[in-house]
Amino acid sequence: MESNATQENNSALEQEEEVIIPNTSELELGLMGAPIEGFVENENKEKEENQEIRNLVSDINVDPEIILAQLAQEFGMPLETAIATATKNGFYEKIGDLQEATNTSAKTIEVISALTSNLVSAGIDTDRVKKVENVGEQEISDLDKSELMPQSAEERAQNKDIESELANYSPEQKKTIEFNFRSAGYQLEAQKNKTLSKVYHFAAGKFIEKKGNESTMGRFLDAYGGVFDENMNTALKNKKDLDEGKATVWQKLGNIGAISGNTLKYGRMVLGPARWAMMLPMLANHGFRAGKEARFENEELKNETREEEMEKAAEEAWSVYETAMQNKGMEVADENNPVTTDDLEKAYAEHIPTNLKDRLSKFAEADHEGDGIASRVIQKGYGWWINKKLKSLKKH
Amino acid sequence: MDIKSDIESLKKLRELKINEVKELYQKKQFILYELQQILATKQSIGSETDLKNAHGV
Repeated sequence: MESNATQENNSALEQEEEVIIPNTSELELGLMGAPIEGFVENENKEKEENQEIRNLVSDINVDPEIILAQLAQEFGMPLETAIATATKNGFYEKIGDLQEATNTSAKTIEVISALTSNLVSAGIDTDRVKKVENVGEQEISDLDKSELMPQSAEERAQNKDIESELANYSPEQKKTIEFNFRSAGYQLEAQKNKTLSKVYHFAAGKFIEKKGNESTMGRFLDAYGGVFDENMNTALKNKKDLDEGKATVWQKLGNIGAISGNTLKYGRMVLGPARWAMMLPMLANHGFRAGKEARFENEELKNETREEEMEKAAEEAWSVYETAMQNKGMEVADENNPVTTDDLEKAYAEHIPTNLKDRLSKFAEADHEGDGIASRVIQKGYGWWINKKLKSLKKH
Repeated sequence: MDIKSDIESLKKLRELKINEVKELYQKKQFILYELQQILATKQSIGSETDLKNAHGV
């Protein structure tokens, strides 16, 4: 489902294979990253478990009328009597609640499985990244700081971040950076998005293959992959401008930022303990948009309980996020790595449920000094970001 | 590798959710058991009434 523009960009990526980390053929095969020890052995066990869960979910979702018909037959009583007795005893409500809770949990298991698979497929081979970072001898010229004319507080903050990151490099590392990453920051950014896009489109294909175009999960993942297509196109345009000498100062800086963003921040995010704390809210927010796009294609659901389901999905994503933080005993959040693309901002503003908005608002305002570690980490990493989002939400 | 521990954490989350589904399944079995008991009582009362009616009690 790649657009023509995406295909052209893919070709552009493949032509410059020598500076890509890692090489394109490996990405095509989904082999980026080292195999995860023990994963393959567990795969069969997981498949069996998935089948078991599917059976349980399918059993729980059996129509109550069918259950009652069977019981009426078993007890040799008229169906109407069985239905009347069941209704009187709240059977329909109990089963309805049960089915709702089951389907929410089952959806979460599907998402977690897709993400686990993504993590394995998109893992970065850190040794190879290091190797590329250390190659190169050409001298670099320092960035002309007089050119840096931040236009806004946000840009100034970004500039400060980049400068402080650059200050951490040794002179030798700086030489390497300029030579090897003349435009590789954007290249890497594009490559990362291409990989993630492929992973999600691939996963979507699997769901659609099994359940047809009506598969909500398939359409969700497909739309989710589209977000990364857009990011990739932007990165490639910036890279092209840089290569052709048309880049603005900010595009140049963005390239350096993309290097640190990908090899340092993103690398840390991918490989470090904070990864899932970062990825899950990202999924939730991307998911709002992707979910909307996917659901709009389903005529049957168009006028039904879409809003209600989105709310549940948001709550569920938030709850998974909290659990992930607690399980990991998170101590470090990277406030330099917020989820701040325009797409996410719009999606967030458009689809965030009111109760979640209130919850975030209260959370951002509260003093979390005495709270558990998870709360403090969330507040530290996301407090400012939440406030920023809330400001944009007030405009809507 | 940290990536491995990330996968382990996801597995834990998955396990939690799987256990939830299993518990919900148990709950469903219990609801069905309850309903069966109610229907059985209903049936037994019905049969007794039929019997009484048959004997003109």
